[in-house]
Amino acid sequence: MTKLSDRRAELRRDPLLTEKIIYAVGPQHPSLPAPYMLEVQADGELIEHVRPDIGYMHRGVEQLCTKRTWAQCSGLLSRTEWLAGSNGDYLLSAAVEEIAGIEVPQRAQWLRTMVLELSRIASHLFWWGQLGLEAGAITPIFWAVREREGVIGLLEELSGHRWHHQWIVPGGVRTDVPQGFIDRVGQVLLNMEDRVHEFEEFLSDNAIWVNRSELIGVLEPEYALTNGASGPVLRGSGIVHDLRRDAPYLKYDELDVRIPVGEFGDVLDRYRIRMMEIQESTRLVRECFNHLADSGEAYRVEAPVDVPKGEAYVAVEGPRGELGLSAVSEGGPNPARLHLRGPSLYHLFLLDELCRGYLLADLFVILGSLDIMVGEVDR
Amino acid sequence: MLSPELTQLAREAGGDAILLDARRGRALVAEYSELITVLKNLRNAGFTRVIDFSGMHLGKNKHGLEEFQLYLTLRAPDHGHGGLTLKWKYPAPPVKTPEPATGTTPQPEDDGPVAPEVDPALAALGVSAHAIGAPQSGDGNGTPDTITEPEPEEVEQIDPAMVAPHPTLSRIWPAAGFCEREIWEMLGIPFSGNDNLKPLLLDEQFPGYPLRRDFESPQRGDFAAGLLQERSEAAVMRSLDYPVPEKTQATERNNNGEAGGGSA
Repeated sequence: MTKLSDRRAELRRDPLLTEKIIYAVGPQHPSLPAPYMLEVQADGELIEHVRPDIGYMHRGVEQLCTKRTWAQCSGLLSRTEWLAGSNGDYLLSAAVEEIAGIEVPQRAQWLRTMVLELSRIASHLFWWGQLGLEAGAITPIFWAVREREGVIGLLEELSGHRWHHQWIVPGGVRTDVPQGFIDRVGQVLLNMEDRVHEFEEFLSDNAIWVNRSELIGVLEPEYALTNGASGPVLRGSGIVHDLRRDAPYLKYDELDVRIPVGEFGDVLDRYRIRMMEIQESTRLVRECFNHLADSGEAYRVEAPVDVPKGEAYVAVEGPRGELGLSAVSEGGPNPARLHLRGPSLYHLFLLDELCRGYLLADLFVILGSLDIMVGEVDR
Repeated sequence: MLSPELTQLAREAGGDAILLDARRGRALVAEYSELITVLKNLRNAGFTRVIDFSGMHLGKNKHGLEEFQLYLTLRAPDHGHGGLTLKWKYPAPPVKTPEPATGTTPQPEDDGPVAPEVDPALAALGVSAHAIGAPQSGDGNGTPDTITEPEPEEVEQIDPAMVAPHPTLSRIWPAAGFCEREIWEMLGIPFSGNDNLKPLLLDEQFPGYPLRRDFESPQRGDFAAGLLQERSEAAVMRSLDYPVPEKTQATERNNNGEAGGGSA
């Protein structure tokens, strides 16, 4: 494995060193998915420091949650992770269920598992398109959004909403799946598997893309561990960790969760892991089909409006990593404290280490490989 | 759920200071004085990943000081990334409020103003109380002057928002550093040893601590107008201080309407 220090030394031998300059990237910038600012100090073309400046989209979600009922908080949490909003719904429901000691019906657990995997596919597809834009390719975003539309349509059919579904509720799921839904999911997945292969042919083996991503933004495993990395960013550095396997929730302990890991910790590894995860999630959704048939008919039990006193930390392996929720209830309809642990906050602060010594042109490719969700960062 | 292996690991690292509830994987740090030692032991025992560090405002304790609960979630990569959430109250040691200084308290023989005693715990919090304008003798012989009523003593008010600094965890786990920034701006707990303690999500001039229970939102108009005024003044000052670069050959050419600077 190429050490980061060697890479830096190699770049340092470049004779074209010019004066240092500080660039403000953002808060409004075409390459940023949402408003935040990167203060980039560069020595000529080489990045020396990247300092993220966040808070431009801070809405005070955690403070607002203390003034709302548990059910209303679901809507707020969903909006912190808008590309896979069901994760926020699930976290809140899981916290209420853990504090109140509610046993969720088997069918609801299988349906939740299926929806979370569909959300992961939708989120990763959009990431793929956005990464193409970061790297200067326009085509992927059109292809990705087209394919994602199929998944969004399925979730809309379930919940009535395209983005913030609030279909996962404390005690189960809001409604059972409509007639013929499973067949339609199968059709969408079948079509998408072909398309993902096409994506791979288009970009994954593209020489320009490989040259721009190989051994760029290398994250050492030790640094990743001690600085809070999780999800595909952590797995890209060769650490085999996935909450679906290591701390299984819902029905993941009954599924065969296979975890793709990287070797070099570079942009290309993180890219390949996400592409493989799309295929893995497709397979997991199909596995859920087999279990849904004999999972009973009950899909929801009544959950109390007033949640008893208690505390819970629940976590989900979201598309970007460990998305956690610390919940404290003092009894009554409102939470006393909700704190969302978003993986993107930790990943954003990895940028300084990831970008140091690389070229300015690499900044956005590295940023794209981290898949930052600003809703989680600013909350 | 905490595995038996992790339970044993945490017990060995924490000794008697950690009371484990192994069923839920949560733990309570019982003695604050041993907190940093316990946390270092946990890190050395294998809990090298900090997942989350957050806090909650509990309100004022019976001594009138703000009380908080802090939560720290860790994972142990060498033990299947099993997790553990620790919680502790802050500040932990009970503190006393100083006796209210009254003007009728008999003064000792010396003439100078005397500061009332400050509880050591409060002193540690940075709270000081001192007497100003204690009654002076009129003629220097101990005979009171015509002023019969002593002037009221001015005792420095304890700022209820003042909280003693919590030792930083960023030297044990670097990722805790920006969590501390968030706790500081949202709850008002300062962290000693964190050199980068500045607002993370809020504006630098945002008044108050939004996650405290007694927080009241500032009037939006007032806050924004004041902020804009200060910022525009600061921008003017910066522009005045900014050194004007000498004209280069390229800019002169541009000013003359000729092509320059190399741009197409």
